[in-house]
Amino acid sequence: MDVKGYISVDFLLSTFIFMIVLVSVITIVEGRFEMVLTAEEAAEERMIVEMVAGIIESTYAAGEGHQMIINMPESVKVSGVKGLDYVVKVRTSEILIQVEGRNGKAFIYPRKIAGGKMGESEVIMFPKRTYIVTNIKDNNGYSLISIKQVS
Amino acid sequence: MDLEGQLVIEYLLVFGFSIIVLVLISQALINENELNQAIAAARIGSLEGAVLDGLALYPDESFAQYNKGNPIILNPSSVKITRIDYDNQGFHEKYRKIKIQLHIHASAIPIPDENDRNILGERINFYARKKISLSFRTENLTNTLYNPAFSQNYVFTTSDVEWDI
Repeated sequence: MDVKGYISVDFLLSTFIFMIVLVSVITIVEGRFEMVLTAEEAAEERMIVEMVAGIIESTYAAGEGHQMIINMPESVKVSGVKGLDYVVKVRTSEILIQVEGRNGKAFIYPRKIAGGKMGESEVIMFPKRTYIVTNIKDNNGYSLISIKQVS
Repeated sequence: MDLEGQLVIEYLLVFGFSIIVLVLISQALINENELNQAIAAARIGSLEGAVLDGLALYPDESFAQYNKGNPIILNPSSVKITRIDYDNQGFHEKYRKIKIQLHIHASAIPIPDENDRNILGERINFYARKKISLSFRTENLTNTLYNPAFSQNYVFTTSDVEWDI
């Protein structure tokens, strides 16, 4: 008889109850997992914009001639998921980050910003690029922050 | 005799009684499970809203609006969900479902202004309702603000977020 293989009613019942509990738990865990991913993405976005703001503030505070390099991250990365593209805009008193319809902003002390060959007052920074941030003096002797893309 | 597989009468009685009880209370259990799932979803959604409020990351339209009128909430701040309660408001004739109103309690010490807090609260409520709708796949039954949110037997609304501090 043993070779025919039997499963007890108790085992079937407990498996059935276990499956019901498992389905409920999976629904909750799935929701929580999505929330954690969103939070991780949001934290990454905030870190990128604050990193740029911090470098600009440090460069300005360190005085004329000081230079710092910014290596922009490849994307807003979340573990195990494809990263999201982003754009960072540096303006006179604020730094903006835009990621797929979501915006964030970091405040900096108002100061002149110059970027690119034409010395534009708004500098747009892209992923995977390297920028040099320099504290220089303009023609009137005022400090300004120059941001140039080097690669 | 052993080879024919027998069950003791006590086992059969207990098993039969359990089945009868289970059938009788199954609807109540299903409803309770549904409500639990909805509250869990609301908790997850409100946490998501609080995280985005705390990190000050907003959609395009809202961001432009806050940039003009509420610049303080564009700064990161600590927004926490402290408690979620609900009121069972009975059967709702229009929706033919039981109406539940969620009361979310939160704290945002760095944001003292009531108007700013209301904006943060609206986002928390929005994500709570959204998560309920997504959890029960009823997005097509509601509007763009997910207000109200539906499950099979319940309809969910939210009151203004109550700020603890």
